[in-house]
Amino acid sequence: MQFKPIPLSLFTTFFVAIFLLLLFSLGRLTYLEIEKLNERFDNANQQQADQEVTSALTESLNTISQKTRQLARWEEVIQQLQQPTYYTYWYRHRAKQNRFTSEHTLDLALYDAEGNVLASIDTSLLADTIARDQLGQTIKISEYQPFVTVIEPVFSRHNNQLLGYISTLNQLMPIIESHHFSNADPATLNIDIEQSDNLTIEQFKQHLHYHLISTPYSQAIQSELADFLFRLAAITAILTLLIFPMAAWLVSRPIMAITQHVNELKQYPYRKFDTAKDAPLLITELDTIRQSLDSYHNQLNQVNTTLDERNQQLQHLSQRDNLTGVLNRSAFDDYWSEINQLTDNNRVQTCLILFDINHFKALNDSYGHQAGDDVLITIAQLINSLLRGREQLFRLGGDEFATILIGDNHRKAMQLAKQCHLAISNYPFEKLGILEPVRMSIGLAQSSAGDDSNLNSLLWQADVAVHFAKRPGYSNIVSFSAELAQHAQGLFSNRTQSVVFDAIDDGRGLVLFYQPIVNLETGQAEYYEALVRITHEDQLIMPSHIFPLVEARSLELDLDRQVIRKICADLKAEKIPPGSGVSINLSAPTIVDSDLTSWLEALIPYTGRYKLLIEVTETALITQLETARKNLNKLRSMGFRIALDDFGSGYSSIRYLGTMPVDVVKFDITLTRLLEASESNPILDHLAQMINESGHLLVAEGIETRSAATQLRQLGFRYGQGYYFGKPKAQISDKQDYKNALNFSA
Amino acid sequence: MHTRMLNPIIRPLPKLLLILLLLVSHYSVAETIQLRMPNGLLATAEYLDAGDEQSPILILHGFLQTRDFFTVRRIADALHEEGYSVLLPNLSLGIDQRDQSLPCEAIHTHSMEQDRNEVAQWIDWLYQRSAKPVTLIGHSMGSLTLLAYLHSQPDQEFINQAILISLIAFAQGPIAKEDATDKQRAQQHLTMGSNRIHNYRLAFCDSYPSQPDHYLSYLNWDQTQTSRALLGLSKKPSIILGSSDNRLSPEWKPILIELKANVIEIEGANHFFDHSHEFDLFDNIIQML
Repeated sequence: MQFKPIPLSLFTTFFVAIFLLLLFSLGRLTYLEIEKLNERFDNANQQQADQEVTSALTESLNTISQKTRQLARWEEVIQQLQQPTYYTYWYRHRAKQNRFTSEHTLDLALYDAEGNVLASIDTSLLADTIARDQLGQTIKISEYQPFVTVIEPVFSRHNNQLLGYISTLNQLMPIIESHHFSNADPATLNIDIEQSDNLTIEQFKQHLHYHLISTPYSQAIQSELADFLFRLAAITAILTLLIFPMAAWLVSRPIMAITQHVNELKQYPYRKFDTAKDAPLLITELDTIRQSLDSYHNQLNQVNTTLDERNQQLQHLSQRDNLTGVLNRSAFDDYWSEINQLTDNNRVQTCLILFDINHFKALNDSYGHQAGDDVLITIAQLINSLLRGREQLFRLGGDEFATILIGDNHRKAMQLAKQCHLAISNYPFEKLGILEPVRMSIGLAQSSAGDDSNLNSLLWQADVAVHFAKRPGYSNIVSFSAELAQHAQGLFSNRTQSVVFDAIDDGRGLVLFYQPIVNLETGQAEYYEALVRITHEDQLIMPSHIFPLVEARSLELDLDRQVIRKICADLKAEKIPPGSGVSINLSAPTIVDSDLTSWLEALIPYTGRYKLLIEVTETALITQLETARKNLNKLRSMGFRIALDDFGSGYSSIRYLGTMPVDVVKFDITLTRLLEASESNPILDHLAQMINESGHLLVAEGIETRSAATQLRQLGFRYGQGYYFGKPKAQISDKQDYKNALNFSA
Repeated sequence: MHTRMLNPIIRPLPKLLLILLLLVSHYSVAETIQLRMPNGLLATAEYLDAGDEQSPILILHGFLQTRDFFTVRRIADALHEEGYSVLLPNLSLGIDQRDQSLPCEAIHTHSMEQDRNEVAQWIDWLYQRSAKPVTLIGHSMGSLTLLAYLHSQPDQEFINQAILISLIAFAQGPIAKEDATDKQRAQQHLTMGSNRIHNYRLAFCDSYPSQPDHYLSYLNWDQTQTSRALLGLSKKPSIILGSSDNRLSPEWKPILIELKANVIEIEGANHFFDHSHEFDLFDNIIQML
């Protein structure tokens, strides 16, 4: 589970909330503990209060009894019992007004030895007679108030003779209440019955009730607790008011500062931050982080700068043609994309000018690779010098250059093309050692403002125009037109292009036609040359339409790879008769490709049962001669034979024979046709003899008649190929014997 | 007697021990004497026996007091220590075996005559006990009671001398609550033959419940009666007064002097001779003895 980051303010609030919660919990816990303590104190107070009340009751009763006993020993009482003459006066004036009685003594009476009151007084609350068994204390309750009656005997001090009795009636509750209570509240003492007589102390206690005093300690504790809770609440409130801003100020601010600094780093990725001069942060650790971030940022910035520079260099290199210094094909594609983006909704008129040097291969062959390069460099410089600042020159490949004019009409493009053509025609190529004139074919294609043409279609149009510019009867500068499109429909139709490209991409529609190469001695089909065709909707696209497109798009490697795969499939399907062989035409780029041998490894398992030949045209060997030689040597070591195709059609055929590992030499059809001219026979004869003697097998192409076959055999040609023996077919017929056709026996 | 017998035995003992033993011997002879009075009540006295060498002394307490009142108690103890046998009676004041002071508000069934008779009975007892003339010492009202006794029985041979301390008369002096109306009320009550208790004022008592005749027996002993009694005595008693006694009327001392009484005034002493005047009082008494 991944947590979603929360804002610092929320985090701080959460922190404060936790803090307050802890504080509240602590307060609550303390409150509960004090409550328990109070409960224990209350229980203890209850016990102590019981003891207090019991003690106060006992002491009160003792006090009452003691007072009565003191009265019994009082001389005035004795005097009254001995001389009761003035008892009534004494009762009214002295009985309750002396040092032995108090305001709680409600009444007092003296009785003679028989228990009769000395004088009956109407207002007296005490009985007129008493009995001996009434001696002592008696508790009674009247109207919820307790009263104590005490009767004590009075004796003569002289002879201890019983003089009589004294009885007092006392209020009990005020005496109890006069005691000091620490736990019981004397003001709450009360009796739960209205009236009762002769209660014992224990009985009386059961009816005596009271409430506890809120003890000072308990009150103090509760007061302190209340104060504490109040202070806690106040502190909590203050802390809440203080901590939050403080936390926001002390904690959030430095973090916000570092966050702001990080945002600055993001906002100004290329700005250099001075860790020493920038304002330091309040917290040392955060400032260390800031300095580290600055340092990392600066280092990263430096690395980025370096990388940008390197990227620019690499981009420059990747988009520049090493030889001429002009932009390459990749830059051409990017430029086109850029144009399309810039003019996305505002189509502007665009002209594409395609330059192609006439017979450049021949120049290379004749004057060498360096001379060819110099020609390319010179032409690039000439064209570049005529382009305006907004126009770029691209080398699309080989001897092909292009430039794109934005917003210019066809007239200006034509004018520029003519200037370029004129500059190249007038340039003294003799300085480069080139004696022949160097000519340039230029094709123009344009898209109007409302046209939705893409680069491929425009490039195709320019290709078509260049194609016609090279043709006899056409100007060296040709603009693409609808008429040209019709002429080239079969060759350059868009539909054909897509079919060809599909075949190259995934082999779709790609088929191999096989034409036999016949042993002119035995009449047996020695092997078959695999020829590329593409089928589409029951139509067959011929090599004359395929290869210009392939070469124009530099797709030779891709096509050859599909062909090798197809041959593998055919060999596996045993389309080719066992014991015979198959020859494969490979383009020049494939021959010099470093991966060639790995591609052909798939055919190695068939080298035992089949003769496998690699046909290489002269032109394929022109440029990277050494690389080609190494690859061919490898192929030979792998079991392949090498055939030099179209021998005699180029410039340096003999030189290749001397340097290249060639097993078979296939005479170009142009040489075969020399047989028709009798004056050419000796040359052909000697040439064939020379090649034979050098150990190469000779194959003649273009044999269309029996006489040609016979002549060629007589000239020493070992093998022959042509319509006379059979046209290329998708399926190899069962008949492989051409003895009858040769009729050598006749 | 006891002292002489002990001398050979205690010869080796330190003098201090001897003194202590003497003290103990004096205290050891203190006893409570009870006499039944003519009114049938028992009266008590404390007899501090010091032998018969010196004239025995009877010391009588003041108005409504007992022998434990500090003035008389200290004089008694001091004289006893000086070798005098001292009798300290408590007037019964109508109460059997009275040993508590009697509040003003108590019903007073006693009279001056009864008090005088009780004094006479104790003097007889003391004289019979010691066979020597008795010295009488009274304080305040006690002095007046002794004067009343001497007045009733003048020239008794068993009376050695009388020392009357702070002698006072009723209806005189600043503290006297009674006045002519009280006397008239009492006389009226008496004329009516009433034997009931009436509430009067007497001496320092605002409330003095008494029978009228008993009340008048005291009230009649005013300055006139007292002066007359003194004048009638052939053997003048010694009278000791405090110069600061504010219970006496200002004219009382000049009257006494005019009566040729042996008046001794102790400078600064009040009615009760407390504090340091206690010693001055004692020194004067010793000198008189």
